[in-house]
Order: sequence, then structure tokens, then C-alpha cells
Amino acid sequence: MTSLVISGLGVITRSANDPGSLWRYLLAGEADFELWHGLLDCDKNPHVAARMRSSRIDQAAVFLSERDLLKPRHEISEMLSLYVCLSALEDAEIDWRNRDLSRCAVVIGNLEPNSRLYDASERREIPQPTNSHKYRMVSSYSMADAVSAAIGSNGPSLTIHNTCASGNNALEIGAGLIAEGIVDMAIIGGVDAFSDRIFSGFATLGVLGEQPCKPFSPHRKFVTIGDGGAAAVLQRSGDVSAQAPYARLVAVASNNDAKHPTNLHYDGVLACHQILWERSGHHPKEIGVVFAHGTGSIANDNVEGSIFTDHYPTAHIYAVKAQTGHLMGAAAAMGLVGSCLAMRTRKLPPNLYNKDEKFSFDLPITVSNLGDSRDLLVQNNAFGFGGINAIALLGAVT
Amino acid sequence: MSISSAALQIPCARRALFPYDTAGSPRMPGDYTECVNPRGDQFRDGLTRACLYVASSFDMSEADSVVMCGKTPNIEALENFYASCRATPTAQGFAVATTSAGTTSLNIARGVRGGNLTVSVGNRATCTAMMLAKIYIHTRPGTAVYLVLPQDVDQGLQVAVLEVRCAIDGRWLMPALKDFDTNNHSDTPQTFVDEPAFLDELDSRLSALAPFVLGT
Repeated sequence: MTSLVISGLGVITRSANDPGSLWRYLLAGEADFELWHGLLDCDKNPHVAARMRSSRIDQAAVFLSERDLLKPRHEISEMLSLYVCLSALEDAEIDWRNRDLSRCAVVIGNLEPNSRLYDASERREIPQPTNSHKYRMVSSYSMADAVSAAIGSNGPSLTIHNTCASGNNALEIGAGLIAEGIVDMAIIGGVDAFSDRIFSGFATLGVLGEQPCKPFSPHRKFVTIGDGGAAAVLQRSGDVSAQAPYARLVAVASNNDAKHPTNLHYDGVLACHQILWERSGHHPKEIGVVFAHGTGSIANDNVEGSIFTDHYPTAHIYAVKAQTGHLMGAAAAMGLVGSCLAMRTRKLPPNLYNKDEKFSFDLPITVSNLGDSRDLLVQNNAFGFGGINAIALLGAVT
Repeated sequence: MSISSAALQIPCARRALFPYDTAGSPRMPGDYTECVNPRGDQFRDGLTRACLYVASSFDMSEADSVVMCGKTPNIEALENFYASCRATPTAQGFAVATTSAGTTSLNIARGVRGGNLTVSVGNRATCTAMMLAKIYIHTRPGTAVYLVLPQDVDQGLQVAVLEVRCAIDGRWLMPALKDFDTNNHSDTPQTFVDEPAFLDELDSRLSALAPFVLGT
């Protein structure tokens, strides 16, 4: 099989707007959150959130303006997609304005398209559509199409809606498109702008609160909703430009629990792991680091933590959502970016709530230095509503 | 390798048209509750109901997968929940108010665990769906992929479901569309309107795509 590598990264969150600033923020053990008041009638209480500030979105606008790509009526998700994907190409030292990228696929994961348009409509800040089919005003595929148009791609441009696992599903499809010879490279990722609907929905589940999420802590209870985007450039190893790639894609696996619309099911999640082990040819004891899905909810962490306890006795478990919040459709892509940065720098950020509290599960204490072994394997977990599971495994570039 | 369209076959294809009612929601046929488990149906949107109904006649296996390609995902589900937020939102309503509700509802209702994918691709849905089916079949040997192709047309919501498999010799079995059996739905003849233009378009697109998809 052709060796695929990740050669460039792009990211935007409340706390960072490029891989370097993200990694410094994470390694410093910071957590930048705020209290957010849901604007819908059902959710008047403030809860902790990781919503991007308008200044951060303005940075993306300036980035696009400098490249003559800013349109007067860009929807935020479309703008963020352009920002992270073009950033990833530039990080990979690919001159997207002059290079022929006609055979480059764009695959972007997303949970809710045009959420801020909907929020503005619900708040009556913009006129409500009179057409009974309001959704006709929405074109979620424009997220991927805008990127394709910008780089001159003729390859497939897909917006994938697989809830919070979308980014890893995008990686699976991007790798598949290259493996099938349909394209030569792929930009994959995930983007989700903050949504009052999502915020209110999680309130109905009783998982929002005044405390940030504490993944795998015995006191975990809440999920911290955030927004942002992350992307990666996937190429054949022989096609990479000057700089050294971040990581090698070892395998991706996905499946569906087919059990419950919201809660994970141990058997289904374990089955996804087993597919990954089979496809990669690696035993879980060989895997050194797992970027856990780690939402901090009772349900997620029970299943994921149990699998770690049962099958990953030596892996260091890290949950990025304690620092960035849950980026919904961008969550898996954020984990992928973190996994790549861990592979390149051989460092791992601290689990914030492991300082003063022990994990709720029998997990090894996370280390900050991962050593220089060429055999290091980093796993990125993502699970979503609807029983969707998707896991990626990265290795060192040899 | 180029294979003529005459050599292509698909085991099964089903489609149906669901006219919109005055509120703009797709109307379900009279035997809907016989074909689809009504539990939790009040939280489903029209696209999810249509998917479950059209797919109900397929004999799906646990290892199979579901892939939906269309212009928009389950946006109606989102809008329904937005509307409920002004009154009495429920956790049950939020649980299925996702853009992937159509495929995941099929996974859950039919016990399909191979995976699912919901993709927005504008007007290129059919070609893209076949590419994705190829990826799924190659990474899940011996299984079927159920392609769900929704289309918002003037008369209503049209949904086609195609079962795609790989033949024993490794060659693809491709679509030879078969009309939905309207005789089983004689009590609601207005619900199933023949759309020859849609079938012709699908057939021609798949035929044109065949050499590309089959590859070498």
C-alpha cells in the first residue's frame, strides 16, 4: 500500500490560530473558557463554553483578504474552512496559487452547517425565510467547494456530516480517494462554528454546567462546547515538498454502534478499535499515546476509559477537550492536529485534572516527554452521536 | 479496463417520491407504520422517515454500511429542534436533530454496524456516491454499501436507495435500476409518482461513470 503522510496542518480555535501557538498553549497547560448565555428560551443559564472571540474570526478574515479570497457574505463555516485548509497547504510548503492542484480532494467534516446564520435568524437579526423549506437556503457543501475553487481543484470536494467523528471520517475518505487513484493528494479536516442550537441541545442532556469538562476525572460531569476548525494535508510520501512531514498515516477505522442515538456502546467502540488493530497490524500494547475523545461526560468516559483500562495498559492518555473545549464536527481534526504535533515534537501536554485528582480509571500518569523511538504510535479517537466511531493511527515518518 | 454499461448490474434499487404537504413536510405512504418502527417517530424529520421507508425492503446485514450523498443533509431535523427550543425542547428531540440522522437512524433501526457516511456534494451526488461505495467496499470486503440518494424536487422529496456489492471475482456489480413496486402501495398511488427523468439521469450518469469507477 502507498505510504501516506501528513505534511501540513492548519488550525483555528478560541485559543490559537496556527499549530505553533496551539501547541505552546496546550503544553503550558492553559484553559481559556468563558461563561456563555444560551440565547434560546430553553437555556437561559450561563454555562462554560469555548466560543471563538470575534477577534479570532477577524484574523481569519484578514488572512483571506490578504489572499484576495474574502467575500462580502462569507458564512463563518465557509470562511474557517478556507482558513484552515489554505493554512495547512502553506504549512506543507505547497504554493496553492501557482501549483496545479486539480487532482487534490477536499474533505471537510462538519456537524452543523451555517449555524451562525441559523442563530441570527432565530434571534431575528436577519429576516426569516418565508419559504417553508428554509433549508434550501443552506448549502453545506460550500465549505468544501469554496476550498476547491480557491486552489483550482477538480477532485472531489465533500462536506461530511458524521457528527463529532467527522474529521476522522474525512481522513478515511481522503486516504481512500488517494488509494483508489482518484486524486493525488487530499486536504482533510473539520470545521464547526458555535451554535446556540447545539448549546441548547446539550443543555437538555444535562451535561452543561458552571465547571469546565474534566475528562476521565472521578468528578467529571460536564461537556464544554467550543468551536473552530482544523485541517491536514495528506500526501503520498514521495510527493512531499521540502519540510519533513509530521506523521505517517498507519490506518483509519470506522464503524457504527447501531445501538443508541447519543450514548456510546462498549461493544461497538471496541469493535472499531479491533478493526484499527487488524488494519494496522499493531497490538494496542504497541501504541504509546492516545488522544482520547474524552468529552468529560459520564457516558463517553466510562466506555473509553474502560477500553483503555482493558486494552491499553501502557499508553499515555491525553484529552485535548479539557483545554480547547469540544469542537463538535472539528473535534476529530483537532485531535489529529494534536497527534501530529505530539509525534513531531515528542512532547505531550498535561492532563489538567490529573494534577490534583487521580483518574477515575486505572490509566498511566501522562508523561511530558515521549522519547525519540521510531516506533512511536499515536492514536486519535473520535466518537459521535448516532453511534459513529472513527479512529486513526499515526506513526513516525521513516 | 473499460466495461460497457450493458455488463453492469446492481442487485437492487428502490426509490420513492414523497410529495410535500401544505406545511412543507414530506408525506409518508399509508403503509409507513407497517414498514418502519414507529418508536420515536415524532422526533424524526422527513428525510429520515423517507430513508427508513425506502430502505425497509432491503435485507441488510450487520457488516454492511450506509452512505448518503445529497445536496443537503438532515437540515429539517435541525430546524425542528430550533423551533422546539422556543417552547419545550427535549433530549430525545436533540438526540436525532443531527445532520447525519438519516444514515444513523438506518444503522440503529436495521442493526447495520459497518459504518455510515453523510455527505453534502451539491449536484454531484450520484458520481460521488459511487466513488465512496468503492472505498467502503474495498475497505470492508464481502459487505454491501447502501447508497441513499435524496433529491429535493418540485413535486416533493425523492429518495433512491441502491444496494452496491462487489462480485465474487472482484468486479463491481453496478446499478440496473428497478422501479419501486408501487403495487404494494396501492392505497397511496399519489405518493409514488414515476419520475422517468430522474431514472434516466441516474442511469446515464452511472453508465458514463462506469469505466471511471471500475478503474483498472
